[in-house]
Amino acid sequence: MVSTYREIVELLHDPRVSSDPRNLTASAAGVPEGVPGLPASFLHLDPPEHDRLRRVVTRHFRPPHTPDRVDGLAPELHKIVGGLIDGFVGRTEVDIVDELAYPLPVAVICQLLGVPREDEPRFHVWVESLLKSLDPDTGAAAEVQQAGTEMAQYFSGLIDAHRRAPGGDMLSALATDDGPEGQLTQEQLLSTSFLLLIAGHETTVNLIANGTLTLLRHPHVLERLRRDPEMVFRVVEELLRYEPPVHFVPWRTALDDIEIADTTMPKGSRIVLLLAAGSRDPDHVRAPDRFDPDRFDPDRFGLAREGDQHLGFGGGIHYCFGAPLARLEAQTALGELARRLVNPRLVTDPPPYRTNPVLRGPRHLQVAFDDIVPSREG
Amino acid sequence: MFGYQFLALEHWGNAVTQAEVAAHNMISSQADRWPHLAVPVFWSTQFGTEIKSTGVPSVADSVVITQGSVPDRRFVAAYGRQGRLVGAVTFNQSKWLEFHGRQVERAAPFPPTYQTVDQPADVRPVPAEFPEAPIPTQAATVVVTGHDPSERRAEFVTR
Repeated sequence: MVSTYREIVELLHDPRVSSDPRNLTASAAGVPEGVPGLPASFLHLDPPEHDRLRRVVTRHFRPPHTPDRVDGLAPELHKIVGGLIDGFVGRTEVDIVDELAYPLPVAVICQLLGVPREDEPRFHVWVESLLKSLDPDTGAAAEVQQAGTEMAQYFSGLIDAHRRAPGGDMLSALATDDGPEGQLTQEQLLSTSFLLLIAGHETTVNLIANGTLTLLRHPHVLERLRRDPEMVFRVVEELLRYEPPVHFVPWRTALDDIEIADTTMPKGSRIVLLLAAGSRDPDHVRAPDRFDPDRFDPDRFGLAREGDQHLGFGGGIHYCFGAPLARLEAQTALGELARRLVNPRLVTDPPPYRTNPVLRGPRHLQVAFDDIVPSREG
Repeated sequence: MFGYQFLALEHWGNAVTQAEVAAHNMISSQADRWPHLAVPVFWSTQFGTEIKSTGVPSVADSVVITQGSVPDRRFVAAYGRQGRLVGAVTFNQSKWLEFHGRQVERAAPFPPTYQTVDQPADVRPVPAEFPEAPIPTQAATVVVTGHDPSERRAEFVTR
């Protein structure tokens, strides 16, 4: 178990560390895997398979080949957030998790993958069942299996339809890929879709919910954000450091004896990287337990220094694939909440939390307010 | 670390690192001054291939591919001199460079024996075949001085 910044960064870049759960020895097993019946996604693969899959998918998500995938989602994202907050009008209390943090990422991922709007309700049910596989408490194996099978069937049909009549979405781009490294197989496409869906979902829920909670606990920061919308970029970076959605990475394995911090981690042992602890390592950041978005202000501290980096998105070859999208979703949601909620306050503090220790965030987040400022469009 | 050779490092990164140390030393008391001990690093993008280097590969006598594949143009090459790692070069594998830089700092044994991800089936060093240094300098050694047994000393010399 590694909790200090420098050592975590070293191990994230150490080729003797594997992300493939098949390398775990039996005693260290018991780590959640992907969806039953599908090949591993690149989250759980090592090079060279990881690198190839990730390169092919990156080609349709990031510059240079696809420069405007995330930026292109921004107008739609604003519209979705606007619509969800419009739903608060006429009320004085909402659950931010159920009514904003949860529905937003599903709507965005549907948009990204080209899932038709009318299928979203079905989709939503499967996603909720699948996410239970990440939660150690529920023990809903049969339900997860069922949802996985149904969603795989649905996606197979969707991929075939997109292959015949491609749209501007990412699934169409992947299904008709003419890149130098060839197309993904149908199974790889399925496990990649599931990965984007699950990894891009629960994490963003927590980022938005943790963000709302943290801002409401620091009303002076919320007030500054209301007056200075540009501050949202620093707020989200500091949230990724201070209250990150992914608290640790539990499934890395030592492929050889690794000496670190005067300790030897024996070959075959499981390595748990406590990312959230590393981001609060007092040897790495000043006043680590203070929520201070200004530490990411380049005007205040000169050029960005190494000491300002956080582990919110991990690092090394598995650095969060969806980071730019997660940032955009959190920036949009928190910026609009700050602008539109009049006199917002927490109803219960602390709120009830999810039982999942890896992905940390409130299960519900009741917020009371006096009024809703009209959306810009309306 | 690099055969005690004098080196001219002609990458701007080295100039920046030296300047940082020099600026620090200018404003620090003698006890707080730093030695300039950064391991050399450079990078370059050539025809879409991202090439990065750490240590001083050119003093090596042997080289071995430790990760990836040369035909795929994605690999890590480790360079050794007299049984110690002195440098590494990555082709489109730059995320692993820092690791190898730290191994160079520790004068890790060469060829590396540890297991990594993406390891080729055949990890066998071949001669590096760098051209001889144009101005050869002698390797560092220890010389013995003094005649009288009480004056006999082992003294470290770098040239």
